[in-house]
Amino acid sequence: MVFLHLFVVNRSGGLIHHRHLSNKAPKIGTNEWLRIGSTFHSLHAIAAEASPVRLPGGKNSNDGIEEMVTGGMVLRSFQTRTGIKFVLTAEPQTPDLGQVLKEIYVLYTECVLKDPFYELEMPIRSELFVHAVDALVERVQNAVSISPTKHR
Amino acid sequence: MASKSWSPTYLANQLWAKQPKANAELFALTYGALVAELVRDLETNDKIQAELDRMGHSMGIRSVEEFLAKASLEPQSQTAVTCSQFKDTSDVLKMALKMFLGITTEAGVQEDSHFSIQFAENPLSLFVELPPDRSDLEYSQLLCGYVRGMLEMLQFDVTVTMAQSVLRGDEVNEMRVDLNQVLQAGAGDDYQEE
Repeated sequence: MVFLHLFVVNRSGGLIHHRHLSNKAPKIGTNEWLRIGSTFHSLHAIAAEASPVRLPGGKNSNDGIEEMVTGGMVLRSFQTRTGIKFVLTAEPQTPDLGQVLKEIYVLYTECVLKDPFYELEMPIRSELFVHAVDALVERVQNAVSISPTKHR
Repeated sequence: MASKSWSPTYLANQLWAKQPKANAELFALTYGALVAELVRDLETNDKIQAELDRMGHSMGIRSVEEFLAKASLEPQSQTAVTCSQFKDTSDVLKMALKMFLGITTEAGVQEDSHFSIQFAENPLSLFVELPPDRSDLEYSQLLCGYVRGMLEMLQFDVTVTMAQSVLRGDEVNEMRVDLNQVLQAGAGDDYQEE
């Protein structure tokens, strides 16, 4: 199990961060990433509208795509209450993606939002954030490889 | 017992315990220096308060994310509070104020479109005595902007004012939150109907 990519989409559908998390990840150019980010944003919105289940008031922040599974990868998306989407792709069977995304959200609030020079909705260029995500990914992968039987 | 450990107060204390702490005096003095600078630069109380409100707003729109992120990591967060009406928001707001300021707040008025929260201690005004010519200044206006910014990110358009303030001679500090409207996110009404 390996994490492949992380990307972050702001609330208007713009890609604000993308990076690969391992060498196994396919190489994708920045333009393609922008397209993937906004396409995913649209699909997410369509999925929410298409949902047959409506909560009272017609709004449900948990609507929309949460997970997509294909033969070669699994994509997990986490949308915050404020509309930012954190999306992680990984090899199939990778456990705990939802938890990792929540922790990445915390790292975003710690490393990015507290930078007084960061403007909301703009691309994230924080080295602190990159390093923190690297450390988190490494920690999770080590934890899983120590107990390989647990999630099989 | 079980129900108690799942309460919003418990969750708020958990969040507060995990926050890094700053020296309260340094915090109060820094804020004091900021307000004093504004008093020197700007003439009227209205302008000073508008500036403090703006600063609080830009802090609020950022730190609401921190609260949501950290609260959602707590295992109790799913069951602690469910907001079905606007006034339930006050319970969550009380948690956020505990987490960031360490203050314990009491619910005041609870109506459909407005609520208020009361707190005796205000870490911003630790050493403050308002001078006679500034006796109407709302020293803690930053907090109002802060709450306004937080709620704005959650699609609530609100007006926040200090209804009572210890500095101005009241018994307790009371912050009043009025709901103006709930902003719509995502697709507009055109797309909502068949």
